Amino acid sequence: MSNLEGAVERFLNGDAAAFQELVDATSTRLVRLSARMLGNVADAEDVVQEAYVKAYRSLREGQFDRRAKVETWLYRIVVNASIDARRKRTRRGPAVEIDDETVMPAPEGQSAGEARLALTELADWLDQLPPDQQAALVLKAVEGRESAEIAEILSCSEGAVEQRLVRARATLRQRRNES
Amino acid sequence: MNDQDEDIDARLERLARATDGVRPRADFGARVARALDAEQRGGLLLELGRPARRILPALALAAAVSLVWAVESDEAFDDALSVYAGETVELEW
Repeated sequence: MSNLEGAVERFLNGDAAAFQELVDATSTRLVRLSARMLGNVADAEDVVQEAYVKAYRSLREGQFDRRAKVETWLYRIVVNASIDARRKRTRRGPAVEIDDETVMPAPEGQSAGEARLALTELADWLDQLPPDQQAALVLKAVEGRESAEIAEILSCSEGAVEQRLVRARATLRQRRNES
Repeated sequence: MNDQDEDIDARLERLARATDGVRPRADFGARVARALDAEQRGGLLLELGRPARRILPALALAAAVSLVWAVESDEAFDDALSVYAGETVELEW
């Protein structure tokens, strides 16, 4: 049993503090994933915070059936919440300013500012895609997840994931040729 | 995979590397803990509210029975008064 599975087990057995272990172990990855979909850390933090509250409620009410791994389940909640947040965003305002504290210096000497610009570039570029294709592409090509896991996260078949990836690439290629 | 796909993949790879260092702000864990506390308190209130909701129909029934009883009592009182309505009551001073 992994640490995350163990933390969920302890939480379900009445150890309320075990949920915070879950948060500490996953928040960096989940905020990064959401920021890659939304283009900034501030929105991603809001989404991930809400996702944790939702997960907490689901566990307490016995709605998590444990068919998926805990991490996959959390990824699913965050991806869906990020897609919802993107849909609700009727227009993109000016990029939310984030201080350098929100972004660690990336490997190979990249600065926090470069990381911030890259987040904006990624989200703006992938904004051309429908949300399900964007999610599949971010999970595969940016997060480096396997198709089988992406299928679980997106609640679809592996074939559907591959189809979304092909369509996403075709759309990006087409848009580039048009511009 | 054709050359154009390679371009797309190369760009995705560059952006993935450039955003690898993204992380939440230092106080994010505490912020989530506060939200979970609020959720826990809300859940507790909900739990306390559940028994009250269960006896609500019984209370509504009791209120309806009380109302019927009050109306009937009032009518009985009126009837009792009407017995004396036609009579002259002599008062002695």
